[in-house]
Amino acid sequence: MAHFVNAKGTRISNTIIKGGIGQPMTIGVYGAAGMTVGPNDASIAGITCQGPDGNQITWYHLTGKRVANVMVEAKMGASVWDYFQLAVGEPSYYGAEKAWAKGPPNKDGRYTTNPNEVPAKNTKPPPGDVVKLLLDAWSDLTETGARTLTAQFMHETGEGKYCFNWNLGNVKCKQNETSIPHMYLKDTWELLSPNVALQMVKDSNGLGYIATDEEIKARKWSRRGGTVIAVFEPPSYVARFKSFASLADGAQRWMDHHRGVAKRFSEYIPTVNGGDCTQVADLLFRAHYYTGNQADYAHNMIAMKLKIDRLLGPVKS
Amino acid sequence: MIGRRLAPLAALVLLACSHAAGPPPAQPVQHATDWRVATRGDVSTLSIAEGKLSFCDEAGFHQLEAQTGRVLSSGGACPAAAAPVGSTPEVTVRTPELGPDDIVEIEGEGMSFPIQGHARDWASDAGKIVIVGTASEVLEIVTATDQRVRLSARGATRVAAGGGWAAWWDGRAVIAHRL
Repeated sequence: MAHFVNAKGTRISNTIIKGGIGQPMTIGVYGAAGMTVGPNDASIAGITCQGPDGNQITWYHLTGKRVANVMVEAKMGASVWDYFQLAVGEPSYYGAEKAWAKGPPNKDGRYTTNPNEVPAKNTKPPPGDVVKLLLDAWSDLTETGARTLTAQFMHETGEGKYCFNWNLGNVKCKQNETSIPHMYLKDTWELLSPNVALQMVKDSNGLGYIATDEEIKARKWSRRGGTVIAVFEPPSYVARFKSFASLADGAQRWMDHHRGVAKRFSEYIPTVNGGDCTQVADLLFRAHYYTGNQADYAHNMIAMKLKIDRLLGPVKS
Repeated sequence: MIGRRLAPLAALVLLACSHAAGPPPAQPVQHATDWRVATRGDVSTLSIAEGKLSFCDEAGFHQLEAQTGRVLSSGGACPAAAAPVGSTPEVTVRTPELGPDDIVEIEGEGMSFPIQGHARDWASDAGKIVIVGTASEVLEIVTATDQRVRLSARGATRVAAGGGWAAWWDGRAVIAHRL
């Protein structure tokens, strides 16, 4: 029995669905073989077939043309097998469903055909590997110092949970930078004035939307006064980040930056080697390495350092 | 944000509309502090080198004298895209915790430069200044003093820096500004 579904696969037969002028929405028909699918008044909405998937659902983009209601039908000959009502209104860009071009990656894990795109994979480096890397690459560091910087790294990446493709710290690509290894990360968000956000979302070709209050609350995002949150999905350039081949490759820039901090602050290396996470957090704050709460940063570094010490055992003298 | 000010943009608009590929102004401007030139379609490259500002748009390759905005060539074929040449020292932009703001870092500096929003493009003039284009503004970061100067209250997706000049593309025109 043929029936309509929304982009999430939920049945929408006999319901009223809201759409915006010029905003394609994804709908599907389960069991559409041999059916004619579309609005019964082409002056109100247009439909384009996106093709079937492997689950007997044929997908369509349905786009409102003017403010009006129209029946969308799945017909076999003259018989209507299923329908829903599309209420076309003025376009709105609030809510994740407005990012009509948002979708999963291709079977190879990539969103584009660019050979430089690398599928995003979580790369959680074992703390012992980071310590070894630091000791091999930076002779000024003691074992304790290497563990202290590893604690900083583990805090920055949520113990590696937020580290993808060995990109330590989410190093970005420029807007037109696609000739180097890169990846796309979901739900990249930004605080913008309402006008700028609207324009950016309109220009995103269905890869962006403005977050609703409910989503902001659920995701525990916060915003400055006078701003809205715009969210961009792969393969929007806003969501493009560099991809590295290995921990050593990705850690190079991170280590170089810490070397720079050590050049600027003569007390940095002794403090790092002393394992004093509170003082290290203070120096990094003075170097503007992070903008969050200093006490929280120190607290988290201390907790990470304890974990690493427990994992690796006593420092060999 | 430290030391923000809106740099005055002189209302000097050269009529060197790129797609018209018109002749250079009869009276070249002597040592302008700001100038702009309209573009057609997307600007794919923007650079400043050896006193010349170059860009490519849908009308082709354009080169102007940075000091005056005088058109040196316009409408020719764009050079084949060369491999990206990293600025020296290298500028890196990262997004801590995938949050809403970025942090700009310059190789060997040891200081970081947090900005509001996400950078779209960035360029450095020998590491002394970094020009950053976001969705909402064009920012000059003076690295020695950590001073931020807002060069434009409109966003930019292409920026360039060199020879004491900054340039950016705001979607409609390339704007050059003497630093």
